[in-house]
Amino acid sequence: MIVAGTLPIEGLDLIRGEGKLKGNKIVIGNREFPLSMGTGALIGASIKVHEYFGEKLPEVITAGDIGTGEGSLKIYRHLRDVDDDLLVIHYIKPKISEIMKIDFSPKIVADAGGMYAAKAAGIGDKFHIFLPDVGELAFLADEKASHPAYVRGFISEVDDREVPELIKRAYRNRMPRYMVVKGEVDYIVKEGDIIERIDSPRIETMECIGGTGDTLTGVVSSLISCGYRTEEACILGCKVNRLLGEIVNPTPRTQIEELIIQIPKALEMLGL
Amino acid sequence: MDFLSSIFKKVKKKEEEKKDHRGLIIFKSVKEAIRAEKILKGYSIKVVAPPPEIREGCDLALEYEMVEEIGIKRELEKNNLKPLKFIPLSDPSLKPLELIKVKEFNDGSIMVRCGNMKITVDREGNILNVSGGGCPDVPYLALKLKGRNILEIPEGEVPKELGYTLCAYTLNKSFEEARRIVKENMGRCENDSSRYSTDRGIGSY
Repeated sequence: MIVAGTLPIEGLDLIRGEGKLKGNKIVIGNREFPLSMGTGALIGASIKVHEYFGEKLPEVITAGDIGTGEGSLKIYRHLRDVDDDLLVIHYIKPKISEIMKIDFSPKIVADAGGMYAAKAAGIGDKFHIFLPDVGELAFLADEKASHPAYVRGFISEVDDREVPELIKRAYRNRMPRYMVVKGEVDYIVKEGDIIERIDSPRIETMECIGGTGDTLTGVVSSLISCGYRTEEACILGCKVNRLLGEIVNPTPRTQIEELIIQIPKALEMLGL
Repeated sequence: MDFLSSIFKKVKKKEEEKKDHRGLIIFKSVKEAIRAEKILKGYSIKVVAPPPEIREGCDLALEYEMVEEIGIKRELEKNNLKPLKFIPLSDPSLKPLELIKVKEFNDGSIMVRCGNMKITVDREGNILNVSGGGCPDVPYLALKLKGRNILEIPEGEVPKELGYTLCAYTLNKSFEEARRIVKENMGRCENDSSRYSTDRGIGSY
């Protein structure tokens, strides 16, 4: 499994290597990075799952980007040729001309910027899974929107109760085979049909912790990498993420690192 | 003939799709548009003739990637250039999200959400968490903002000044609203023993 996404470090050149954890730091080659939200949280969650199952740790392709797009561009170019069967594209500046050129032979999980770029380019059906929240689902459902900031009002004013309708609307555009819509209820979608709803335990404060979506993507894709079928991985991933909330009992000031370190316990609680 | 017309249709559709993520910057003079082109060399921009219905006296406009809007605006401001308008090419009626939702937690913290971007502050205005979004400046902005007090952040360090993308723009909307609420409740607190109004609760406005 390859995780490709930027880290918020100005000037950091492209790095490729196995990701390891040392305390609460990610180690790639001879560099150390914090387990902060974004790609850092996804890498951390992925390593925890792979370690738990005793599998080969994920490979990471990263570069520094604080929004200018420099690091994203280096990653896009590196993705024109990858040598693994599962690729996760994460925090990356949406660049339609570049995402069209990546190697689509692996199964690709797209979250965050990777998903924005894929949808805006109109090539969502080339991907394996998207993991939107409700706001991002509205963006996927709006055939005219190229970024979640430009979703038309009548679509963006939806709430969690209208998710099934939005899913139907999104699948009129080009969407991946699978989708995990995260929110008060998590919906697992296969080819446009909701195949499972997961709504407990429900920990309200999880929504404000930066990185909970990143850990969900990390856990789901890692379970696939460790041999679970995609449907199962999506369902179990949502359960793991919710259990993390139950284990940590977070407050609005809880940080994502506190949840990541509990991933093995959540996997164990599910009997995996 | 059918074959040719289907090819033309495909090409036209592809061109329309390309426009979905691009916008136009309209200037008041050709001179300004040319100057802007030089200033914005690092961005994916193209000089074009604006369509007649949105022409405002200038025969040149810049086509740009909408996701880069906030960085472009800042770069132009730095160089004292004030464009007349930024217009999405696919549908000039498209406007960035304005809808704000506020949620209050048991400990009195509030989470303010605009579109895909959320910011959480405590009663005193300390920034506890930033979440959502997917552009690369979001984790950067989270690192820059978390732990600071929203009332003490100078104008030069708010999300729209530090960020480059539409996620930063949307986060700025949440940030401004959170700051307004904290300020308002601080003011109310001076005259009242309760710090937050009870009608704010969970909901949107």
